Amino acid sequence: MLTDKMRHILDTGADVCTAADNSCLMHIGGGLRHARAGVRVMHVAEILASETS
Amino acid sequence: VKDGFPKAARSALGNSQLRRNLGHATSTIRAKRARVVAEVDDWDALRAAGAEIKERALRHLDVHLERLEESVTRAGGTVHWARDGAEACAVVADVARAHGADEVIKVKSLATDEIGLNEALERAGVHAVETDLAELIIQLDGDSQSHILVPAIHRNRAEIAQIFQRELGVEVSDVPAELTAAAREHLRAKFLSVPVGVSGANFAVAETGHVVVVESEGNGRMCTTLPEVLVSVVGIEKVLPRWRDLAVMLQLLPRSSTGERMNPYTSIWSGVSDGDGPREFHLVLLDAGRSNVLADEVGRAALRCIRCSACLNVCPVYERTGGHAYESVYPGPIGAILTPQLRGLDQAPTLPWASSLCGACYEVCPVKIDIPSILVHLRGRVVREVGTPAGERAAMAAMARVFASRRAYEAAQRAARLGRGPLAGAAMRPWTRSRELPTVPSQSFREWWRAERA
Repeated sequence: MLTDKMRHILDTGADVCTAADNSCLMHIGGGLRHARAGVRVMHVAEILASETS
Repeated sequence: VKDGFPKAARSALGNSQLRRNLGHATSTIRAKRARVVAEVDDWDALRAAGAEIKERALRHLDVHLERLEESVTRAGGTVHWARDGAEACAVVADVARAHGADEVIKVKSLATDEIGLNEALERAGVHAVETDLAELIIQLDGDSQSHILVPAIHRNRAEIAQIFQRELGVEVSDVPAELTAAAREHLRAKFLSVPVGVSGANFAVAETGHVVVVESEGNGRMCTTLPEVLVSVVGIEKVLPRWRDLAVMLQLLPRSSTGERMNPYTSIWSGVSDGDGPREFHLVLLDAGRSNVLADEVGRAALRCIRCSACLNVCPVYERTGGHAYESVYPGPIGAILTPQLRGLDQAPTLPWASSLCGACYEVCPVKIDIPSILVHLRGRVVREVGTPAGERAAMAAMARVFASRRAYEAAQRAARLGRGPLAGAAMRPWTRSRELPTVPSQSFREWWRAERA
């Protein structure tokens, strides 16, 4: 399931993958890091916080 | 205890042919179901009604079952109560023996597969012939089923042609019409000569004593009408209180299972009648762990299941591992909650974890079984009643202490920032193989909040 998810993410060409669920972010983010895919994961709260600071 | 899901799934995941077969088949059925469900304006109300009917049946199961016994007996049938699979198998073997049969013909039936009826009959000198096309394929190949509704979903037509050539000794190509013609030739002789038919049932109506079999091929109707004797082995959770309940169930089932507005064959009978159908009818009411499931207030909702298999077809885990990894006749999400409860948690302790808890199964369930919640509930029961490895237990106890107090939690965050603390444990290796803990930020959310508000 992780392999398929990562392929779909890479197909979009995005730099950042976001989600509202930390378990998903740990799973997908771990996979992307292990594969040195060059896509970062961020929690949606991190994106909102970065806008205000 | 068998291999357990993680081990059993591993070989399936390595089989790319299997994954192609499954991916193709499940996405086809998913699309069909979505199309025909969207046609029904009041689908959600229908689901709610289905859930209500099954809940009502389960709440007073004892009353409805005795009523069913009365109705069937009045219609000229004989009712047998089977505490477990062995008792049910013995009833069927006795009936076959009483009629001097060395063969019986069978309608596709999960209950009889659950109790190993074919093997039990074989030991009693009676050969059971599966007449459902997919079940026949499985039986000829000495294989086991991998889907509730499409037992041979893991095979493609080229593989099926090979099985027919080898086991039936016929020359067939992989054209579906040729394959079904070969099966028909083989089965017709059985339909016309074997004196005993065996079936399960989709529903049994307490009020009227009607037994209902829903199918696509018509072979089921052959088995329930042509032999002189019919034995139906039915789980006690299949009872419906009233005749009119069928109006709801027969709308929900075909759309959820095969993605059809109505299935091709619905056979309904009560007892026996003169000059038409079997001369003798036996109904075997099977418990085999169902009473125990009823005792669990959360887990009992699994008994609402009408075996439509919609949850299998939408499950991302099932789509990748296939049914054999669940080591049960009930695979997929429903199997993950039904099998451990029917067999006992210690007999299938890994199944409640065979899910990502995405919730797709709950969304499609025609009787609204909240499978994800039951999975979580059963995980808790496995931890409490069966136990977990000492390392995991210690890690969870430490986590519980940390998460129980703000001070301990913030201290752990500071420790984690220095690369220490409970989260750095090597005991988590299996978990960290495919996941990565987020890097600990230099400032926690609480610290940021306090600074922001200061």
